[in-house]
Amino acid sequence: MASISFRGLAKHFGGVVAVKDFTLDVPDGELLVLVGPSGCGKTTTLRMLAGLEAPTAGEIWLGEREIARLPARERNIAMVFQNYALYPHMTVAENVGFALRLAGVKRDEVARRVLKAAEMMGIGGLLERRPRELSGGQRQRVAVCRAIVRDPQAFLFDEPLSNLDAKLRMSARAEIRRLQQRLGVTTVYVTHDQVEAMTLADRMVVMHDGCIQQVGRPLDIYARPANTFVAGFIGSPPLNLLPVSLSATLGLPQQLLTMGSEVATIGVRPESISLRASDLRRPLHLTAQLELVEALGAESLLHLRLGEWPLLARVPGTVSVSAGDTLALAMDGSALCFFGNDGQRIDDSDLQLSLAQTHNASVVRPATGN
Amino acid sequence: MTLGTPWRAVGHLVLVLLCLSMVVPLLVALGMAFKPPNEVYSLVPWPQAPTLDNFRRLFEQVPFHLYLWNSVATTALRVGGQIVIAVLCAYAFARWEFPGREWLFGAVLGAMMVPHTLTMIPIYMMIAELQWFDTWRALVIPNLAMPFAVFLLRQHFRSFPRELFDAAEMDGAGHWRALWLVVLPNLKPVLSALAIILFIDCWNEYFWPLLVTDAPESRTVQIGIREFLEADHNDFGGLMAGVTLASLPALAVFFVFQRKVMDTFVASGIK
Repeated sequence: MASISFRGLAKHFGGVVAVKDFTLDVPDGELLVLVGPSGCGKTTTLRMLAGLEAPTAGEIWLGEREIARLPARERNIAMVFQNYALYPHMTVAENVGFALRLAGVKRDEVARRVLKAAEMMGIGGLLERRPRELSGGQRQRVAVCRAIVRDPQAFLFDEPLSNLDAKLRMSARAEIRRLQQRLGVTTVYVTHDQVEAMTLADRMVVMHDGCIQQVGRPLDIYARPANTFVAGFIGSPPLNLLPVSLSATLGLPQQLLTMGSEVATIGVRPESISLRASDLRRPLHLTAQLELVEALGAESLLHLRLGEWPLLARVPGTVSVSAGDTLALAMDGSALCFFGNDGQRIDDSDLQLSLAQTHNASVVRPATGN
Repeated sequence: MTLGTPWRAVGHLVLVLLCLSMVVPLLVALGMAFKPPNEVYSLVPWPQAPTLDNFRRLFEQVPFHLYLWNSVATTALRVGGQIVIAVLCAYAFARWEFPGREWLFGAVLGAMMVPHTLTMIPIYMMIAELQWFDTWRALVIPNLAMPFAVFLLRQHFRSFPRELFDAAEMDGAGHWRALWLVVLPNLKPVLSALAIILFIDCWNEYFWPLLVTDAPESRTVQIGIREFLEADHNDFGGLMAGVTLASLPALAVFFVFQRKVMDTFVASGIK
C-alpha cells in the first residue's frame, strides 16, 4: 500500500492534448474517483498510472518510487478493465493466478492464494470454469479477484461496472466499496457515471478537456461546484443554470447585477425548488409554466419554463400537478450558486450576505397556489 | 434467406458432384495402388485380388523411403520455420511502434506481389554460389520468409483485443510471454489454417526441388514419383502406390488440423 502523487503529468497524442498539467496527491488507502465525460482524459491518466501509456511530461510517485517511466510489470499495480479482459483460454483459477505464476510463485502457494481471493469474492465454486461459461457479474468478480490476489500497492478500476445491468451495478458498486475499505489499498477508479462517482469516492476529481476542474469530497463538490461545467455535470438531474438577467424574475435583489458586476450565471439545484414556500429557510418566489411532469414514484421531476428558460424542479412524488399549469414556486435563496463570465464560481459569502439582508428587510410574501 | 426444397435439392446435388470430382480420382488411385498388373486397365475401381506388389516394386526400383523422409523432414523444418518467423515478424508489425514500420510492411507486401518464377533464377544462382545443391538447406532456407503468412498473422494480431495485451502487461508478462501464453493460445485456429496452407504448399512443390536436387538420395517424394515413372513407363500400379503414399501425409495433416480448427470454433461458443 502506498500513496500516489501526480506531478505535472501530461499526455499528447500527436497534436491532441489528452491530459495537461495533472497534479494531485492521493493519500494511502484513499478511494479516488476520476469522473468526466468521454474524452476528458480520465482513462488516459489511469493508463499512464498503470504503465500502459507513456506520459509526455511529468512524474508519478508511488510511495517513495518515481514510476512514470517504469514498465507496467515493475509497478506492482493491479487493474480491472472495462470489459474484464479475462484470458479466454484459461480457467478462472488460471486467470486469477496468472500474475503470480509469472512472478515465479510456487504452484501450491499460487493455488492457496487464488482460493483465498476467490472465496473473498464469492467465486470459489467457479474456479474450473472458463470465462465464456460465466455471467457478466461473475466475470466482473473474477476480474476483481485477479487484481486482489496479487496484493498490489494500488488498484486501478477502468469503468468496471459499465457492462453490467443497472441492478447488478448497484450491488457491485457497494461490494467494491466494502472490499476497498476492508483491504485499505489506495484505489483510483475511473467512471463517466457521476452517480457511481458520488457513491464510491472518498474524494473525486472532475475532469474536462484534459484538465482537473475540481477535486474534493463528493458532497462538497455537489454543494459548491467550482464552475459551470462541474455544476452541469454533477447531480442528477444537474444544477439549473440561469442567466443573471433573470434575477428580478427570481426575486433576487437588484444589487446582484451591480455587485462586483461579475455574476453572469445563477445556479439552482432542482431540489431547492419547492411548491411550498414554508418548507424553505429563505424562500424566493417565482412563477413558472409547467411543461412536463416525469413521475418517478418517490419524487417527480417538473420541467418548467421561466420565460424562455427551462428550469427543472425535483419535488415529492405526492404533489399533484399537471402539464400546462402555471405554478407559484419558491426556491431556497441560501442554496444558490453564482458564476462569473468565465464560468468560475464566485465566492459568494458577500452575495449571500446581501441576499440575507435584502430578504430580512423585505416583507415576506405569502405563499400562494399550493 | 431460406431456399425452397427444390432449390435446396439442386444445391445439394451440385455439392455432391463437386465432392465426387475431388474424391473419385483419389479413390481410383487408391484402388489402383492395390491392383495386380492384369487389373490395372479394368474399369472396376477396386481391386479383385488386392496385392502389395506395387508398393514392393516402388521401394525396390527407387529409394522411395528416402524420398518420403526428405519430404517429411524438409516440409516439417520449412513449415515450422515459416510459422516461427511469420509469428515474430507479424507481432512486431502489429504491436511495436518503430520508425519506418509502415514503409517496411509495405516492402513485405511488395514482396508478396513478386512472382516466384522471377526470383527463382537469382536464388538458384545463390544456391550454386553457396554450394548448397543436394542439401536440405537448399529446400528449406530460401522459402523461410513468407510474406503472405506475415500479412495474415499481422491482421489477426491487430484485431486481437487490446485489453488482453494490457492485462498481460499488468500481470507482468513481457512481449515474449504475452505472445506465447496469451496471444498464440487464442489464435490456434488461425495458426492451424496457416499450417495447412503452408504444408500443402511445401509438400506439393515440384519445380524448386527439381532445380536444386539431383542425387536420388536428396530428392523429394513428388520428384521421386516421376523418377519411378521414368524407370518404367507402364507401371501405373506402382505409380498409384507412390501417389497414395504421397497423399497420405497431406490428408493426415489436413484432418488433424481441421479437427483442431473445428474444436476451437466449437469451444469458443461460435457455432
